[in-house]
Amino acid sequence: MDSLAANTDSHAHQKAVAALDAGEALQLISFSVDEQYFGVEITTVREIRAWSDVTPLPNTAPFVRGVINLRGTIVPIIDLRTRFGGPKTDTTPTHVVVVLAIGQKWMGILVDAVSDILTVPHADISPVPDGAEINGEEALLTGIVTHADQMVGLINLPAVVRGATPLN
Amino acid sequence: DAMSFADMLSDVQGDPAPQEADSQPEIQPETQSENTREPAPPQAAASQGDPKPEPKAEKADKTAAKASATPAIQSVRVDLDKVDRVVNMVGELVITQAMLTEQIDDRLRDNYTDLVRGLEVLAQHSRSLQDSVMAIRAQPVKSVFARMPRLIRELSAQTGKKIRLEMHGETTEIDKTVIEQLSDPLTHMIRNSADHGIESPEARAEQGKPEEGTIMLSAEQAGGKIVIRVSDDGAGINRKRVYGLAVERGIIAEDAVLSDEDIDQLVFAPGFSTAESVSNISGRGVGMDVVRQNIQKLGGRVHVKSEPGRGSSVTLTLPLTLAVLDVMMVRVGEASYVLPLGSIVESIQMSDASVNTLPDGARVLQLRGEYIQVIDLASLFSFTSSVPESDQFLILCELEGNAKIGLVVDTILGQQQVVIKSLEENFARLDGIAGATILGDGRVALILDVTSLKSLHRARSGAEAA
Repeated sequence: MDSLAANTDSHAHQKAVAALDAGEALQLISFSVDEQYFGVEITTVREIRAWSDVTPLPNTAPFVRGVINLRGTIVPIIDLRTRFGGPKTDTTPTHVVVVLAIGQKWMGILVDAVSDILTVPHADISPVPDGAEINGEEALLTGIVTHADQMVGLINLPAVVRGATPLN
Repeated sequence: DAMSFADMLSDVQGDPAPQEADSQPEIQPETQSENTREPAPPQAAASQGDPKPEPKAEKADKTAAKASATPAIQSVRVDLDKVDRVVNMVGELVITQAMLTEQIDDRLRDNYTDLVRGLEVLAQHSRSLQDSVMAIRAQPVKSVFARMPRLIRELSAQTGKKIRLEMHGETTEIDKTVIEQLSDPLTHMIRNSADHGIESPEARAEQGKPEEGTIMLSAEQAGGKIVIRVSDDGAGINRKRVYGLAVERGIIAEDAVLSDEDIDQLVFAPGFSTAESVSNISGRGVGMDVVRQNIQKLGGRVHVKSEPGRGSSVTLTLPLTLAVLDVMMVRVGEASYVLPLGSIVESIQMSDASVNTLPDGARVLQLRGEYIQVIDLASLFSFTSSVPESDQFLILCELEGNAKIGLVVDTILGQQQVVIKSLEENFARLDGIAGATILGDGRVALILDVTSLKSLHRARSGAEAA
């Protein structure tokens, strides 16, 4: 039984690698906020760090927690929980910041924990159902995929970040 | 390979850009002798990460010392990326050195005199290194200014007006990346002066002005910034027309009440470009609003002053990139903020200051016959003050345009030098914030921009009132 399972796993693994190489799949890092899972393409991830104090910025959207010093560069941190309509995260040293490169800019998103690295065939990605916009904004997710019985929302990074620029 | 080196050298000499101090002593021996240590010419050596540290340091030294004029200025072409990396590293070095200096206390001074002395010497060297490194990337504005006399001649011919150009401060140095972006805005500003500012010779004679109008272009370093000014002795801004056009374009309400100065700044409003600026002469209707956007992208600011009949002047204020800024550190609530020393006039203890509250809640300081707006930084940044008002300090600051403002802080922590880090690189420009810096303990502190703090305050008061 075990060896059968092992064989199935390694077979699945080989398929995944092949699909990646063929450009038919995406490799994601998934992370959780409350019991919800979200993912971003692994190529956008620059660093994963434990939560550390931020310096708040005046006159910015509530989900912009502030900025940190990342080896000499100033990087803003977005609270993903707040961004998706939830309350401000009660941060502890176990919370995680995922630093991403979005276009030319680096930004960190605050999440509860990093979960997994998954390879997802394009074919398995479902579009976001209508009406999924939050507060009338553009959709913050580009798609949904099910992995190991979990629904993982693929984050629309430019949209998540777009709301972060200063209020006027 | 002496042949290709000579080609490269003449290629480099043709480059009008970097005016680094001469490196003749290093280059000449290599030209003459075929048996150089490196098989590749020095230029390639520069691209390979410079196996010879001393000549570079020597060159930087000479640049910093601004060697007296030599007949031929030698230069070496270096990838800007490499320079940027050095610039960043020096920035980090300055921060680390500042942190070390911060650690010096009496105990250290008493028991480790040599160590303390070493740190002090290190501080001096770091400062020299910063100056040298900044000088490497800095170029005189001359290269941009040089194109202007010809522009004036063309404009003079095109408009039929008599215009003379005066230039000052061409040797003022600015970071290379900033200089390249100045050409368009300056050209446009000068065209604007020629088009709308300077009157025809007849109109000028009627007013008793000399027939020939003057446009003055100047550059100087002031208060940690570069100030570039384009001024003319023409007619000044036609405020009625500007107001009318702004209403027409929906930029202001029909019955809006604006001060003269506010009307003047309308020329920078997005979408303002007047019909005249879409004339043949001013080109494709670039507009002063585009000038402002471009300057803001550089982290700078534009401001216009006008006197009807006398003339107008547009001032560009630009930051010195990789500036090591002299600042005053202050505490507001739980956070530390940093104020450029160049903006500070004086600091007054609140208990000594006569601050009154107006009916609308605004606070004013009465000082030597002046009434100065007071902004409480704690409430602006949503903190609760940790000290009673009488123990607080009021920092009197000067904005662009010579207006003054008083900022209330909890404590003054002291003066120091900091390296400016960009907030815009990964985020955006924020009102009230000039940038950020990294303190000795690794935390980020925001550098305040006094001029736009006023806008931030206005926005917040507006939001609260709403």
